[in-house]
Amino acid sequence: MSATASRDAAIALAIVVVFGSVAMLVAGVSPLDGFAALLIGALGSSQEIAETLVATTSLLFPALGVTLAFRAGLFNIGAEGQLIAGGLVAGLLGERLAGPAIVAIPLLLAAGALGGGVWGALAGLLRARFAANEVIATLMLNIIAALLAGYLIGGHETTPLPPSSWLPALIPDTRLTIALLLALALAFVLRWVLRATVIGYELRAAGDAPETARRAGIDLAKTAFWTMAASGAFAGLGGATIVTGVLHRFNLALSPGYGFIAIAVALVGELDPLLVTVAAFVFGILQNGAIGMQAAANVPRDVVTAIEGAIILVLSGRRAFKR
Amino acid sequence: MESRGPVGLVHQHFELVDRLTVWENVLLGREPRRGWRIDVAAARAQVNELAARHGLAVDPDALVETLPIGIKQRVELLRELEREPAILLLDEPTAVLAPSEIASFFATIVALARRGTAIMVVTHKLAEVIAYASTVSVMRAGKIVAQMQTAQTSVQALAQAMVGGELPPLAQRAATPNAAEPALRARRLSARSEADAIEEFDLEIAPGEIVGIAGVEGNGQTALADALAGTIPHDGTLELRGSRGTIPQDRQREGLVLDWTIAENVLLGRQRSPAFHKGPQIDRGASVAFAQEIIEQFDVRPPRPQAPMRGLSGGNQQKVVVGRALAGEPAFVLAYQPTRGIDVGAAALVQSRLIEARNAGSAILLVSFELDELFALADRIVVLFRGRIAGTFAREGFDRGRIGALMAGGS
Amino acid sequence: MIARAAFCLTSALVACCVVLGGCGRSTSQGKVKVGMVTDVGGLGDRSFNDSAYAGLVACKSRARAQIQVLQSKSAADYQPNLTVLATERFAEIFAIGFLMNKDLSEVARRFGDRSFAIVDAVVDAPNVESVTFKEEDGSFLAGALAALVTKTKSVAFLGGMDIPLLRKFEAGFAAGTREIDPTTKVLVKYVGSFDDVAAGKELTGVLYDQGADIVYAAAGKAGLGAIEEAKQRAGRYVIGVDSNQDGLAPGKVLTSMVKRVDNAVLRVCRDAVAGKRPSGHIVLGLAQDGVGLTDFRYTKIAIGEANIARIARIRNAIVDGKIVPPSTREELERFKPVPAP
Repeated sequence: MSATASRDAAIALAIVVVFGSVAMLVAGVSPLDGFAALLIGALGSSQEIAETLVATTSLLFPALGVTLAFRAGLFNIGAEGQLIAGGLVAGLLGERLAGPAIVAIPLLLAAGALGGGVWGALAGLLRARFAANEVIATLMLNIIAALLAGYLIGGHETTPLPPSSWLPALIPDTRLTIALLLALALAFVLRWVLRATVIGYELRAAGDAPETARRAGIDLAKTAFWTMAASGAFAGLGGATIVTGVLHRFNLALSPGYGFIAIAVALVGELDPLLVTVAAFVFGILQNGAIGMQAAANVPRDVVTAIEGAIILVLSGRRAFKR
Repeated sequence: MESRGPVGLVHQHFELVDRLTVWENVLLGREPRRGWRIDVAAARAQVNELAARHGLAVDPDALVETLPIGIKQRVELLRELEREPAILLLDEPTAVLAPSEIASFFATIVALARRGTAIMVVTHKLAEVIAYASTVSVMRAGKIVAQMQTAQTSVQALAQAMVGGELPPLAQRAATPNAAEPALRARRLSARSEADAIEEFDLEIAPGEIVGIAGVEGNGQTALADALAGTIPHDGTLELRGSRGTIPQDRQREGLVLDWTIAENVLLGRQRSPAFHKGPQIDRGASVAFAQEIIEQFDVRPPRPQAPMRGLSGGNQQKVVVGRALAGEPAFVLAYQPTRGIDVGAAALVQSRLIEARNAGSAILLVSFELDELFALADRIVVLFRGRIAGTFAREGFDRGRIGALMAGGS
Repeated sequence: MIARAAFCLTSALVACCVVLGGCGRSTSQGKVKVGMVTDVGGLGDRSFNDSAYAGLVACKSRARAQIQVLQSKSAADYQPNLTVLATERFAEIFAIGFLMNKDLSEVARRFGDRSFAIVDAVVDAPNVESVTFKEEDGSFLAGALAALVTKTKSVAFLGGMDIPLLRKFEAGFAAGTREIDPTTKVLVKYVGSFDDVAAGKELTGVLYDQGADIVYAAAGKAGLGAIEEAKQRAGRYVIGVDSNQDGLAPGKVLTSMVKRVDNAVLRVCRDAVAGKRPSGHIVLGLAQDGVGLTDFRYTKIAIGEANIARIARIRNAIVDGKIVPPSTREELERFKPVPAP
C-alpha cells in the first residue's frame, strides 16, 4: 500500500517536471523560466503565499472528501458537483440571511456541508439501493449540480453576501480566511476517524476487503450511503468556504475543477489525510503559480491544467487497474 | 532448466477468467477458427472430447464464475492437458476434491504418466504421495531435505521429515456431554448461494458435538455454510443459542484483510464489542493483547501483532482465522475446510484446537472434502447430496464405503 | 526510495529554476505594459473576450504597447489575475465582463495608483474607467430591420438570461419593431443560460413554430444553437449578436448587432499609452461606433435596397437624438414611435 502510494507521488512529480517542461517548450518558453515564474508566482510574496493557501484550502476540503470515499472503496468522482451543491446552498441562503457573524457563519457552513452531503448521499443511495456504479452516478450528478445551480440562480451569480457573513481573514487584505484552519483541523479529525475509531475501521474494511467486511457484520450498503454523504459534506463545506470566504457570493464558475483536481490530490497524498494536506499545498502552488507563470513568463495557464489532467489520468488509471 | 515440450501448471489458486465460459477458458488463445470467427461448435466438441478422454466431466458452456471450486480445477487441468504438456506441475490438486474424485483424478494422472508425461505434484496429503507417486522430495524452509522412493518410505516417515521431528498427537476427545438443548437448530432450511443450494435441511448440533458434512463439492456445502453464517437469506427456521465463530471457505477473500496487521484482523466481527472499544475509539491495547493471545495459542509466525497479514504463509493466515473464530468459547463454530491447503503441522494444530473447542462445549459444524479429517474429528457425519441429507452416521458407525457411495448419489 | 530520489531531483531542479529564472527575468524596455483579464469564457469564445483581445492586439501594433492576457478558470481567479497585473506595474488593466465588477472594485481600492478599465459594468472608483454600450441603440436597428423583413408579422427575441443587461437588448429590439409597424408581434423567451447551445436551438424552434420568422438571439454561445436551427428551416432567419456572426450561416443570419468591444479597448488603451488617467464612465452608442449592424454581406437581396436605406435613416435619427431607444421594459412601455424618418 505505502510502497505503491509513494510511487504514486513520484509519478506525479515526474509528470509535473517532464510533462511541464515539454508543454513549456512547445509553448516556446524555457522550462527554467517557466518553473521559476511558477514558483515566484506561488510563493514570491506574502500576498502570493496567501493566495496559494486559498487555493490549497479550496482543494483540501474536496480532497479530504475524496480520501474518505476512496478509503471505503468508493470511487467518488463527484466532488465537483458536491462542492457546487454546497456552495449553492450557502450562496442562496447567504443572500437572504442577515445576522451576526457568530450565527451566520456557522449556519452557512453547516448549510453548505448539508448541501454537499445530500448530493453525495444521492449517489450513495443509488449504490446502496440499486447497486448503481458510483462512478457513473457521481459523474452524472456533477452535471446535474451545475445545471441545477444555473436554473436556481437564474443568472451567473447570486447577490453578494452581507459582510457579517464573510469568513474572517487570517491575513488582512488577503482572501485567506479561517477556512484554512478549519480544513487543517478536519484533516486531523479525518485521520483520527480513519485510524482510531470503530466507524473508520469498518469503513476501511469495507474498502479493503468487502466480502470479509460483510462477513464481519458490516452493512456494506449502509456504509456506502453514509460514506458518500460524509464525503459530499466535505466537498460541500469547501464550496461554502469559497462562497463565504473567497467570492462572498455564489458564482456558477466558482470552481476551476477543484473537485476533479482533488482526486489527484487524494491519490498523491496516499489517501492519508495529513499527506493529502501536503499534496493540497503542492497543487495549490501549481494552481496559483499558474497565474504568475502566465503573467511573468507568458506560459498559458492551460499548461498547468494539462499537467493536472495527466496526473489524474495516470494515477486513477493505475488505481483502476489494481482493482 | 530444460524441458522437451511445453510445461503445464495447475495452480492451487486458479488462474481462470471468471467471466468466460468453460470452453473459452480451456481453449483461450487456441480457439478453432472458421475464417475470422471462432468455430464455437468445434470448440465445444473439442472440449467435450478432451473431457471424456481424461474422465473429467464439465459443461463446456457453463460460466466459470458460477462453478464450484472442484469443477474450476477440472477446467484448469483441462486447459493444461489440451496443450499436451511434456511436464505437468500440479499445486495441491486434491485439496478441493471428494474422495471418489481423488481416485479418478489420480487414475487420469497416472494414465498421463504412462503415456510419457512427467508429473510433479505439490501436496500436503502424504497418503496420496505414498499411493500414487513413484518418488518424493520433502522440502522445508525452501530446501530439499529428503528424497526417496515412495516404495521405501511411509506416511509417518514423510511427516517426520517435513516437520523435522515428531508430529504432535491430536488432542484427546472428552466424553460427549449430554446437553438438554441443542446449540444450533435448523428446520426445513432452504437457501441458494452462487455455487449451489440446499433444500429443506434439518439439523441439530448439541453443545460439545462436531457434526461433519461429507459430500462432493457443489452439493450444497456453500449454501449451508453461508446460510448458517447469516450471509445469504434463507427459508425455514434457524435457531442459534449464543455466539457464533466462523472459519470461512476462502480465508483470503472472506476472512481477512490482507493489507492489515494481525492485530487489526483479529478484531473483525468484534469491532463493536464493548471489550474492544472505548467510546468511539478502538481500544488498540485490547486488540494487540487479543492478537498476542492468538499468536501464542496457535504459534503464529511471525509472532508480532503488528505484522502485515499479507506476509504470512497460508497456514499462519489460517491460524489467525481459526484463532479468531474459536476465541471466547463460541456456542457454535462453523468450520469450512479449516485445513485446506496448509501444511501438516498447522493442520494438526488447527484440528487439535477444534477438538479442544468441542471439549469446552462448542457445537461445531465441520465441512470437509477429506474423509480422513471427518473421521478424525466428527462425532456425527451428515452426507450431503444435491442439497439434501443423503444419510447420517454416528461415530461408532462410520463406514467409508457407505459414506462414499452416498456422496456419489447411491443408496 | 524512488519517491525520495525523485524528490531530491526535483528539489534541485526547482532551486536552479529559482536562481536562474530570478536573474533571467527582464521586460522589454520603454514600452507601456497593458494587460487584460478574461472572464471564464476565455479566449476563443468567438465573441466578447476575442473581441476585446482584438482591440488589445490593435493597440499593440498601433500604439506600440506591450500586451499581456490572463485567462480565468473560475470566478476565484479574477482577483488574483487582476492583482498580479497590478503588482507587475501594468499601466492599464482591463477587466473584461460585468462578472468582474466586485473583484475589480476590491483590487482598484488596494492599488489606488494603477489604472483599470472594465467593460459592460460600472465601477465607481477614481482609477477605473467604466465602458458600457448602448445595446438598445443597435437592438433598435435590429428590431426595425426585422419588422421590415418579416413575412409573418411576427418576430422574436431570444435572450440568454433575464438580467438588466439583456433587457436593454430586448427593449431596444421591441421598440425598433414598433417604429416600423406597431402591429408586428414580438415573442420573448430567455434560455436561462449563455452556453446551453442545445436549449438555444430548441427554443428557437419553438419560436419559429409559434409563427416568428426572425429570431434575435442575444444569448452568447447559446445563440449558436439558434443559428443551427435557422439553417434547417426555409424562410427563417436569425440576427446574431456581439461579434459579426453573418458568416456562420451565410444568408440565414440576417445581420449581427455587433458590440465593438475591440474599438472600446483600443480607445482606452491608446489613452493609457498616451498617459491619460481614467475619465470615469464612457458610454458607447451608435454615434461612437460602439454598437451597430453589419454590412448585410450575404443578405442584401433578401432585405432589399429600400429597406437598407430606411435602416440607415433610422440610424441617423438615433445619432441625431431624434429617436431615443428605451433601455428598460418600463421605458419601452412609454416609448412612442417617431414619425417615419
